[in-house]
Amino acid sequence: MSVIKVELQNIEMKFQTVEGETEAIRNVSLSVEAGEFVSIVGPSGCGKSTILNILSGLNKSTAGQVRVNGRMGYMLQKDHLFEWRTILNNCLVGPEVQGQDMKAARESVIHLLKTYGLENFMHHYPNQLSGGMRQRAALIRTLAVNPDVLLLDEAFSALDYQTRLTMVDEVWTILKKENKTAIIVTHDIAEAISMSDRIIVFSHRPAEVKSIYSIELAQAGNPPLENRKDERFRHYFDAIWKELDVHVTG
Amino acid sequence: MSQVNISPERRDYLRRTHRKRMLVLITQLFILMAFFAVWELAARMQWIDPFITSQPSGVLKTLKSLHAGGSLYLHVWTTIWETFVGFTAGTAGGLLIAVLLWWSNFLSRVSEPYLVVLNALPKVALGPILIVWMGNGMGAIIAMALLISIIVTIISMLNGFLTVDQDKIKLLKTFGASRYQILCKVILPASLPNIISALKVNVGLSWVGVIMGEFLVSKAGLGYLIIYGSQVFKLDIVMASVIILAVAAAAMYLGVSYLEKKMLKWQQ
Repeated sequence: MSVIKVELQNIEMKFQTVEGETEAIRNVSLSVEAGEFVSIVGPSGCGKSTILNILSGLNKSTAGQVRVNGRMGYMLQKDHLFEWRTILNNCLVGPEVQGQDMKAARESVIHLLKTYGLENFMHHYPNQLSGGMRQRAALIRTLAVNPDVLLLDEAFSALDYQTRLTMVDEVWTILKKENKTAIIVTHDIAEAISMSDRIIVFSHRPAEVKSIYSIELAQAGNPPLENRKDERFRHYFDAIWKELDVHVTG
Repeated sequence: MSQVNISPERRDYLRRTHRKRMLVLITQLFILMAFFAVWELAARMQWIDPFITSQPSGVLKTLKSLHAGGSLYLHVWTTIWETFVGFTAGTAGGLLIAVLLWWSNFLSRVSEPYLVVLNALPKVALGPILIVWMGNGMGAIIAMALLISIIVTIISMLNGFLTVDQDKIKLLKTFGASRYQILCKVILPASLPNIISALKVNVGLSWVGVIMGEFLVSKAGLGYLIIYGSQVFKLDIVMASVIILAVAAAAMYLGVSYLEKKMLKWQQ
């Protein structure tokens, strides 16, 4: 019996501005088990990111219940490394803000940097690193506060295609190795299929869960890049593509 | 940077860039020398009237006598001190108020029209009021320098704070950062280039404020020397003061530039 890490029930979200009210999310319920990788795909502007904001506590939903079991770590589209800090100090920003024991945090971050090949760059400034390395540093910064659940908000879409494929592989491997649960928001269907155990398709705004796909490829537990070669990959891709397409034209 | 294995092309390139740099420097020096030489020559040949244009040799003589009398340093230090205090207070005060306005959206919205009007107002117009209120001394002059730089500082700083990448703030919030932590860890460091450029602007503005103030009231300082010199038609004194002023202002500006280089290492 797996542990439920995250549960959303009948989430509703309305944004208020002077111009008017926007209903971003109408009725979303979902749950994610420990160790599971779940992707959320949907048409752009459908409120995918809002779900992550609600999960991480940045936004409060207008209605519904959020149950979170464990700590959340957030990864954004761009790395947002602070240019004025070295890589090491960038990675320490989380523990610093949370007032953790800095000596222990420093040790564990240095360990992570060593494990994931940034050892020689920890005293460099971000602008001295390549895009892929920067994103890896951003991941380590997220991992530094030891989150149980990682929220990835288009975490790869700012990278060029090749870097992106390798980074997806890398991040996936790291997260599996560190035993994390992941919720991934992406507009890239292929990326979603290759990384996830389940894919949740959102409808147009106001978002509702349109359908859920359990991804079962021939070889369970393969890294994303391998998965792309699977026969059933295309089948899932077409199915989800169609589902999104209906809403674009309709 | 090993000097040993330099290819001939590289040596050539280095030599060329070096030569270009020297050429620029030499031309710059030449223009300066030529300017003074022509000025002196024109005055001696009576092409211009040294009584109203002064001349380098006269300026030099004046500097010597001011130096001998010791009053040169009194004037220079008075002005530098006033500028320094006005500059520091204007920058620090402006920064502080900008932080306050960043902190409270309410305050910033309330103060907006006032800032706009104060910014548009030529601060020099307030000079006489300052003199009435603070007496005809250093206080009024420093107040003038402060006033002239503080409003611009507030506005440019606040704008800088507000244009800091929202996602950087979001990132800190995901770690649960407080508003104070956001200020210290993102807003201020991200605004450092902005702060430095405000410093650069403020150096110039403070000189304007101080000299204006000295024109209006002072008993000492370079502004005083300039006014005094022009009133008694001793253009040598005026020109000498202007030259010292140029050197002092440039030195202060270079100081800020140096600070910039030191503080913004991560930008290179």
